[in-house]
Amino acid sequence: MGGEVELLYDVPRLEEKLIMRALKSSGIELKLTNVKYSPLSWSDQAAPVALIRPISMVRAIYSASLREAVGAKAINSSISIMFAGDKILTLSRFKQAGIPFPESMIAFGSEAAEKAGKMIGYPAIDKPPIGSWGRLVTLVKDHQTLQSIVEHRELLLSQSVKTHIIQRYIDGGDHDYRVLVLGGEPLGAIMRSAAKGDWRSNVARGGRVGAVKLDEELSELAVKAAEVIGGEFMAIDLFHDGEKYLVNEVNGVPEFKGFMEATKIDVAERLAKYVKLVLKR
Amino acid sequence: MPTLTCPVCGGEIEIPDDALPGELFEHEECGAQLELEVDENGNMRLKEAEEISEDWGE
Repeated sequence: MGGEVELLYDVPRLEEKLIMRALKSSGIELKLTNVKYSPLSWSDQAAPVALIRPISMVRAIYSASLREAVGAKAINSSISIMFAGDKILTLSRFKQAGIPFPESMIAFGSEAAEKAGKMIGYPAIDKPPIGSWGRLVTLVKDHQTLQSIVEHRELLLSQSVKTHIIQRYIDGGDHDYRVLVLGGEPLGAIMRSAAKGDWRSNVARGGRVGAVKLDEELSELAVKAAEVIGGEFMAIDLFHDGEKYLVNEVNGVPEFKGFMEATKIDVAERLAKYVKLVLKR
Repeated sequence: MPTLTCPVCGGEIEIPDDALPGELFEHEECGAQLELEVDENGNMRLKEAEEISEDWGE
């Protein structure tokens, strides 16, 4: 196969291009694999390190799994991408590890969802377990709205979107914090605020970003969250409820252009340095 | 920079030299979302990009 590092991707974003450049300029021999065009096999000879960067969670988990099977170290591992990519699995791990998160209930159908809405109270957040960039994440202001959302989701084919995570809305939920964790160390923190006319703070939705001080509580929680999910390069999203931080979710194939813009930290270069250390081990 | 043909409107679109297979481009003239495909011989062509799927993201 050749190469010390294989970068597996499907849709190259700015992040993948930056990672590619950083790896090349640190002298790492790089092999690029677009998993949409190249079949993967359990007979492939893997590079020692596989950087897993598909935009599709399913492709990311499976690509990592195939490379792990032939002895590569996948960053991140298949299991950690799976646990990060499914918000229900994430919260179960958080619970086991004592990581605080917003009060949440899971509902698999309309009756359960309506009961959960009443128990959590309004306003609430409704989101499916799988998805990103704020897609289908809804701020539910009253019970009638929840009923409509459930009805709409029932008409969709995917079982995943018929599953509801109903969550207490955190006051100040129009902004959140993101910490990037690499090899068990926090790189920095940003605050993301919703764009005008939206309430979701995702950078992909036009959210504004600013660097914030990485205090001890934020650092410890983010590092712990990455550790319990098992990822080496992860983005941890958190809220602050006025008293303490709550971890909202974990991203296993993190985007970082907003983070770089706000902190001026060259994330791709730091990742390349980390990969070099991993290669030396 | 190579110039390719938009498969939707037939117009021309310039692709940067460092473009990668699978990279997405929006054709400003017609608004189509396009994906760059490169065959074994290095020939490039554009096709309509796949729709965002429920598991896409970070």
